[in-house]
Amino acid sequence: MHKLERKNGQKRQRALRLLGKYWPYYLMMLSGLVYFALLKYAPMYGVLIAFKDFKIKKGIWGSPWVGLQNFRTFFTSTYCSRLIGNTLIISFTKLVLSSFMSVFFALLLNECTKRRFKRLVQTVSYMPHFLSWVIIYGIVYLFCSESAGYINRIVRMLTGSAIPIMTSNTYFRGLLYFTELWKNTGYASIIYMSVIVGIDPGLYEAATIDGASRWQRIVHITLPAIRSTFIMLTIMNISKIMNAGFDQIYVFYSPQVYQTGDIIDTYVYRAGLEEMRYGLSTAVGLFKNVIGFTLVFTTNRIAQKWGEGLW
Amino acid sequence: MVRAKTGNRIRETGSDRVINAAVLVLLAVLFVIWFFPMLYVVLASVTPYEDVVRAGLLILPSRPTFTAYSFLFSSTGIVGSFLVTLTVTIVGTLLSMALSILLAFPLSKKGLPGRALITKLLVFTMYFSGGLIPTYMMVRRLHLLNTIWALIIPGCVSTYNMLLLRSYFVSMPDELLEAAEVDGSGPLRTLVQIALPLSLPVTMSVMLFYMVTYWNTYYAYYYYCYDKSLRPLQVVLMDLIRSATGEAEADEFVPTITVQMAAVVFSCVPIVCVYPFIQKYFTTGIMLGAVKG
Repeated sequence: MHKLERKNGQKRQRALRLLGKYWPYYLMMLSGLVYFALLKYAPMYGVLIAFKDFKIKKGIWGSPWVGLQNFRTFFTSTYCSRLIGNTLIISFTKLVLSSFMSVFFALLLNECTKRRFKRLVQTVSYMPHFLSWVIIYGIVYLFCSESAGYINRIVRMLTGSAIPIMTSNTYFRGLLYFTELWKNTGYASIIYMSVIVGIDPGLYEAATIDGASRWQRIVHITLPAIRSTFIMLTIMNISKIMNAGFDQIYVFYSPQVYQTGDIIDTYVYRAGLEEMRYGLSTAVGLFKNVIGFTLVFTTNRIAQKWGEGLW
Repeated sequence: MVRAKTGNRIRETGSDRVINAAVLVLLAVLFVIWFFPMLYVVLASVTPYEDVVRAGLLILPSRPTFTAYSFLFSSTGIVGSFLVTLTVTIVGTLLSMALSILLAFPLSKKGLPGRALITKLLVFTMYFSGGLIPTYMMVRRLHLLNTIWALIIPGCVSTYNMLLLRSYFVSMPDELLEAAEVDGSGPLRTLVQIALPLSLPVTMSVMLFYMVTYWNTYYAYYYYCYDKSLRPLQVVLMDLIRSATGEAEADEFVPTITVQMAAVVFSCVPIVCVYPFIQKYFTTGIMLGAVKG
């Protein structure tokens, strides 16, 4: 008994000592933790809306349960396969194109022997990353609009009629891919540049002495050096495959291109805040989130086998 | 690298010269693809409307005019929205930086009880969220709907940015911070006087990330606000562009493409101004982020 009490006392003392030492740190964190509690964790309770016939007046708890009704509505709707299909196709194509373009661009920069030109191209290539999608939409409009667009002026000169680039299902995805690459390739290449800069120059030197050509040095030294970074980034990007880019598509799309451009996130927005179908919107969002989270969890396991974890 | 290049020059073979030329040509093409659209927007905004519509492949503003800009400032409400966005950017960046730093610094403290648990809880929110409607309900309950705070608070701490700061603080030598504390400096003073000045590259890049995010505020308005006086710059810009594509309200004027491009240029100005100063910092930020995932 005495021993136990003494032990408890020691524990308490230790806790008090730690608290005495660390309380200012907890106080510092307080505001941030309140933010996370209110705006990140409290809404997680709100996913119950997905299983309810939600009425704002009755509140989340007061609204009647409907089981999986909202999910059934979504999975039996005609939108379902189109939304999932568009989401996966768009994000997968973006993933492949942007991975390869950013590696390609980094290699080009690295092989460029004109230093000032290289610096200039780099500076210009990072810039679009900081422009909003609305601004990029404005630029696209200047080039693609049917009435006064730059491209359509040329097309009209050649063929006599304009192409509805921004509102046609034929071109919409292409437009998404191109603008995505235009915006982010430069920025995404920075990480590969940083890996390439870290390669031991002695390797190149030795290879040159052994008679390796420029091309052989790229294939046998530079590419292997960035391979693990490439694989890590690809694994991380696969975990985000359910995000096809709401920010971009919401700005670019219109009802004419729902067929090729409507994705899960845009539907969640329309169903929820435009049509006020709260339960349905939340259910679709939850479905997407659960898959996304599972992917992150699995890919993190795979990444850990590679020796580095995501967290 | 430098040594490799001298080696290059000695044994420059035919195929090497081909690669050199191909690299230059490809980079030049990419440069044009990136640079020309931006240049063209600026040119279109200072060229008389008739010239833009009639122009061939190149616009050369032989008689540059700023009528598009004067029209933009006088009759589109863009000035008010500029002030909204400016307020959101300044207040938001300050708030975001304060909250993120105040979370990151304690979480970098190795002995802090609960450190691993709290970090995990915060990281979890990067991968799972309640979603749009539940967050909307929360913003509604906090009585933030249709106030300027709705444009700032819901996204005010980015876990990713917070982790960037934290990993930089973690990499700082312990002795330095502990020495300060032995000298009687409290944690807050250690943070402000020692940790922050030493982490300038990462602090600056995180600040840039926040500033750009706030400057580009767009969706938050559609999610949480309806009052026209709260429209951020990007929303007004989008309305200006859309209005010519047939989605304008009937009573609104139809802006010409020159006015639209003037609006695009105007919306970019702050980013273009800040960009050169911060360019040298953000590469550091990205590399850190890459290491930490």
